[in-house]
Amino acid sequence: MKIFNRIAMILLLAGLFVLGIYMIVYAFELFGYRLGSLPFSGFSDGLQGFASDVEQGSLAVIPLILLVLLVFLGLLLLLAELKPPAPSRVRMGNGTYTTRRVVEDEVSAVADEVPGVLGSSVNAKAQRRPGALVDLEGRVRRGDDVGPIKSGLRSRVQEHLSRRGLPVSKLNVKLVEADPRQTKARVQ
Amino acid sequence: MGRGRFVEAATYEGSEKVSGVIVGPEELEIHIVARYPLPRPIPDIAESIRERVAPEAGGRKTTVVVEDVEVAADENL
Repeated sequence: MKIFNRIAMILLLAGLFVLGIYMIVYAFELFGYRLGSLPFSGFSDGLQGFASDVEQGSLAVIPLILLVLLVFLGLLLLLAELKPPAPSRVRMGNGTYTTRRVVEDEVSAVADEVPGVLGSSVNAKAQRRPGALVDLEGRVRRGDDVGPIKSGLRSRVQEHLSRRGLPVSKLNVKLVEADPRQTKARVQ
Repeated sequence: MGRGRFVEAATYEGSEKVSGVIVGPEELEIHIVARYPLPRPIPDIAESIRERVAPEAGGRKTTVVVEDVEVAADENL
């Protein structure tokens, strides 16, 4: 949401800047531009027509759909803005935290030692509750039986993390076939 | 002590700077780096630090952040 806000603010301020320049040009009648030449009358007529349609409850279908969509968009943006940001640290206990990198390094170190796993990539996300949400992607040789490798990888990672005491609320393990020439280890 | 990852974790007082500790009016944050081999699980180490420091924190809410786990340099090398 921070990025969206930033983009929206940049666009809004850029728009205001451009409108401000236009206003100066037209107000001082620079370069031959005059306020009288602007099509204000058509715009105000359209706006008046729209307002009277709203008052009489006789809006056309398309403006009605657009208004409903606008309401939903506003509601979504409001909810997204009210939603608290994701925490940056993984909560371990009462007043104790660790960084996501610690969890990622620990998972990565043990995953690379599992037989059949040629390399791995880990993404740990912090949550409000204790424990991290870990997405682990292991790379295996094409044609390998992934079932035993996956269960072995999961159990080794869980065992290692519980020994270290790092809480994980959810561990997603995914195995992908990879070319051994492009992995960290060619043979495991 | 940890030094903070994206923002420096330190407290400035007078001409001194204490790295790894952020002292606020309501909160005290301690940043540490654990070192292998770990004598105990990481949460136990953090909790014991928190328990030791909390009585000296002047009523501030004490938080311990484990920033990293690193391998100790071998002194024989």
